[in-house]
Amino acid sequence: MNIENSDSRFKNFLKFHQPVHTPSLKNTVKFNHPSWEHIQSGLYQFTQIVELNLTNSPQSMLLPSGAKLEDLIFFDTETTGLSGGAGTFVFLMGFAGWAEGKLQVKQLFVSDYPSESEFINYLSDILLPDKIYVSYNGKCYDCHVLINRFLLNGKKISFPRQIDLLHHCRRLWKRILGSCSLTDIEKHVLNITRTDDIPGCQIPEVYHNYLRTGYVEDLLRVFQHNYQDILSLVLIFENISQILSDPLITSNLTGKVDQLKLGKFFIDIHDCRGIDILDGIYKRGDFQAGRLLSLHLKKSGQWSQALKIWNKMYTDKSLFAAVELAKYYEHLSRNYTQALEIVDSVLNWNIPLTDDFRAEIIHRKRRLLRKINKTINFPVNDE
Amino acid sequence: MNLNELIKQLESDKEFLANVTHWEKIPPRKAQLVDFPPDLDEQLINSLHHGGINQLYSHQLKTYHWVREGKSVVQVTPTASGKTWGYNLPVIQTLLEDPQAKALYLFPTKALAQDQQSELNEIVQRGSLPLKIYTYDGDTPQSIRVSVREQGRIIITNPDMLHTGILPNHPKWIKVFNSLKFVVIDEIHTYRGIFGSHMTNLIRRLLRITRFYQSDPVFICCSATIGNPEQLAERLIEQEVKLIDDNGAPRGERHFILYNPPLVDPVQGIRKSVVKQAQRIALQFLIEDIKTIIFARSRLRTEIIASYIKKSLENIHTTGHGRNIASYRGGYLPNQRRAIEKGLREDSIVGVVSTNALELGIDIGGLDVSVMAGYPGTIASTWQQAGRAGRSIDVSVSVLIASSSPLDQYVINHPEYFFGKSPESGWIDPDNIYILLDHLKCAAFEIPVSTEEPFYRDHYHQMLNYLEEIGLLRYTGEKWFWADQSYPAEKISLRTATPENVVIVNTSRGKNEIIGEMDRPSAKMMLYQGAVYLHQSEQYIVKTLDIANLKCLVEESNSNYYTDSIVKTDIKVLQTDSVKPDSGIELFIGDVLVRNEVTKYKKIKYHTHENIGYGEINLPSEEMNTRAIALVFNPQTTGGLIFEQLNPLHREIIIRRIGNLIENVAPLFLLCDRHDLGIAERLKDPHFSQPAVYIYDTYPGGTGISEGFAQQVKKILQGCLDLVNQCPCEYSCPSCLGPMEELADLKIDEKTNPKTIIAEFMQSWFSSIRQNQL
Repeated sequence: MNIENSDSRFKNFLKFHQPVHTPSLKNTVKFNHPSWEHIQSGLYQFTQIVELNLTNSPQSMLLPSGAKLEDLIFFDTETTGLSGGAGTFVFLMGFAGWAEGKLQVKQLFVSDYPSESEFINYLSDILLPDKIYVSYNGKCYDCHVLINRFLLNGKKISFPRQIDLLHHCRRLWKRILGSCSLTDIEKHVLNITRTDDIPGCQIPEVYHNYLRTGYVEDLLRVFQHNYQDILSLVLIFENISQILSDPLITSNLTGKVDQLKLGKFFIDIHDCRGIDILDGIYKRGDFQAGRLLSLHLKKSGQWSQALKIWNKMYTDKSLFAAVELAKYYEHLSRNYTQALEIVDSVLNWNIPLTDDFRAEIIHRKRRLLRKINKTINFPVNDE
Repeated sequence: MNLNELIKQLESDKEFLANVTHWEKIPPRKAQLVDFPPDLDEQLINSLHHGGINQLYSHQLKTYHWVREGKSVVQVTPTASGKTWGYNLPVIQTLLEDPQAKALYLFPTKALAQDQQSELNEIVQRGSLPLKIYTYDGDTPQSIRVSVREQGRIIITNPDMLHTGILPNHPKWIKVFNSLKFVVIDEIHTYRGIFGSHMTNLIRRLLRITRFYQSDPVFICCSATIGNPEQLAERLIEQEVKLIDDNGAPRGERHFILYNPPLVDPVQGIRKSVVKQAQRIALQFLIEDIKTIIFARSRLRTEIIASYIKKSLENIHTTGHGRNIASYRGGYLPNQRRAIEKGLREDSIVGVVSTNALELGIDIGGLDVSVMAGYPGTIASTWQQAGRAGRSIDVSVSVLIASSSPLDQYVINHPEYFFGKSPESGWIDPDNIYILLDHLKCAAFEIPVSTEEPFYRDHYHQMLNYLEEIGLLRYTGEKWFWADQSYPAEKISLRTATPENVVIVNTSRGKNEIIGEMDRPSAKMMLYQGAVYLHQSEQYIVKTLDIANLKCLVEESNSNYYTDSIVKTDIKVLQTDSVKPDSGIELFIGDVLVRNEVTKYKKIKYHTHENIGYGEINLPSEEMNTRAIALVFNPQTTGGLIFEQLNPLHREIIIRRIGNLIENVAPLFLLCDRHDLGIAERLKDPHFSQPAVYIYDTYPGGTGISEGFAQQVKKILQGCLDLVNQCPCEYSCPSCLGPMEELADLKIDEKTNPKTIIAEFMQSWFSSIRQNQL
């Protein structure tokens, strides 16, 4: 195929596929705003120092041992697409960090694609590997996009230490709020309601539109959105630190925090406050807490306390408790008749059982009957 | 009786021989064995020995040498010729020498990729080779995707996954791209037409990425036997390849029998059912416990043939002789399939009836007899199906049974196509504007496009500008950047030309299951309300077609008819690339605008092809810009002059039916499907002011079929004449000129035989060409 041919083939194509609208093209958009400083070709910076007196953050349980508050970098990026991939660029990045008791907030804006290399160079001086990176969903998204951008500019970056607040928020509030978007957390936890906020999903188009037309009004809303995201990260960090520093008090503030998950979190890190939290809500009738608590007690060999919980739950027809009791009587105390009694009563409870569960119970019953027969009919064999 | 005795018996069976159009005895051939190359790694030799391999076939060594010298190759590989060792040997050797080296294997289907994975697993295990091999496709769990990218030495995937998953995320694959040494592309003959045109562009994008990471992979392509393997490979990867087609694998004696079932209605050209014939022939072998595979053209037929055979065997052996017959087709669960494959390898299954699902790759061991119930559609497929019979040194039999379809009838009378050089050639058009635009979007997403890079070609310029104008790209800093929030690859399918696909939903019995997709223009011609739609041989009836929302609802049906839309086609010539005398007429190549309008459809009864009714279609017309060639009967040319001198009634018959012949014959030469070609005949074409027959590509922008047609025009026309001459029907039948009824309104009197008219015209046309040349 020679070039002339392809050219005229393309002209034929255009006869049927004329662009519907021709956007006004500005190949060189000039960004200009009094609060933003032009630092290098096409790269702009906004800085601000925020006075905040946060008491819980400095000794937060979220901090890795030996780390100081000054080691944290709170960050959030805005990108040209939401799918990731090599064609997704970062055009705005906000950071915050503590220095001498004050919060320093900085935003960097890439005013057009070719400025990306300046941006990456600039970042490689700031994003040092010994820092701890605090984000909202940064583990799954922002960090990957940044790693891609660095690679494509021939540089390397890694984020060895990260605190993704999304994971912590999900633990504490997911079951209560249903959704854990940053705005939901702001509303319910921080009591912040944004006005005139631009939804995250519209942000890429705002940037593309700015590049096509030079229109900046919406862009300023994106800057504001990103700025608020950064501040919220700092506040959420403080809030979660407070909850973790005194979980028993917070757990009395009923309804605010998912206490079951909170209790489990403490149990998982071998902190005995977890037992107190779970015990508290179990006593208020939460069987899931009873389940977690009793399994923890069972694991650590505190049988009598576990039995107490199972017996109580058993009288309320808990299948879980019945199975645990049956296991206990069959394998530990070898009281087969007692175990059989429990199994039989489950079958007579008249509550719907899944097929698998029923099969399992019947299997257990058969085995128990066999064991009972053995002990009754052939005691000699046991000698 | 053993197979040799049975062959003798068949050779003296007069009734059987009466229907055999050709019986080819292919003599046995000894293996051409050579020693392992001296540089081969100890561990690899160990693995080969454990797999029972102590020497190589000559062609494997040849591939090894070329590839190790850094030359890209294409191997033409019949079944059971040790094809995979051809590429695995140089690849694994290099991977063992260089712990950084990586290889990418591309297979057209997931099933073939899985088969290669298990084969490589065995090689690695036998030799305890320190190589990690992974399959990366839509089924790869998220949890191991990181390991694939970080640790995989051989990554097995498919073009679609490379296109949507790997290339757009190339920074994640840096470890692979940094040291990619080999790209293996198996079954390249499947990359033709639209898929092949996309494939060339995909390879261009892949090479752009490897250049970015400074690696320069060697390509190893494998092809079934087609007419132009070297040319197709070179068009796909756009670099020189070395052809390796001298097979050194041993072969036992092979009997290849072409069988045409007897005519039951000579007037309508109806023959005995291919299903019954296949079953009868296969039974003769199965009764003697000879391992047989029967290929059927549809899922339904596999089930019918299998049940017939099972019943017949029960009648013969009342005691359940243990002859196990299985059917195998798409739609079976993977573990069912694996069980059948195992049964075949371990000889617990003596017969299997399969769709073309067992044609490629899948390891089922050797069988003795292959019976093909109907021509598989291409000669390459025929050889792959025939190749399923024949263990390395034993005698084997392949029987091809023709159906009444024109292409079947044509090939069954042309044994030279099977035993000479294959007439089939794969054609592609990577510069199709629609396809090119799609890949330019993806390329810009992957790395901003610059005029300085080797990827860039001059004619991309206006396309990139166009993409900028519609707001998808941004030109700044002397590069085109992707400037949209979407992920372009996601919306681009490699297997179709337009993104606007109609989704076909099966709503039978409250289901809501997507069974397929079809591009919008074809949907209008095939999925109108009331249409009978065949999908993987299941039959459906169209309930509604919602063009605006690109949705078609169908229900399962078992009607005894199929439907055929009556398409009114307007063709406008947009651009003439060339008009010149060729083959005694004028041959036009260029761009055309095709406007198709469907207003009615016919209901046609299966088998008898009777027209049993009409239906209305209410759909807006469809416009398409595509490539076409036209045969113009200009009286300035010898053929055109002869045509002009004919009786006007005859002219009309000829021009109307010649398109039908081309439609039936051309797919054989162009390695395409009938539906890939559109035909329009004009007794007086408004553009040329002459009689003309247009043959256009049914994919927007064209896929190289028109160019391929132009190169083979003489062979195709000769094929048309042969089809007319060799068809035993009296006047016209669906196997040659088309159903007689379609000529009814021409009021042909008894003395006018359309076959004679056409044959006489073509003969004098062709002889005028020859005279001209003298």
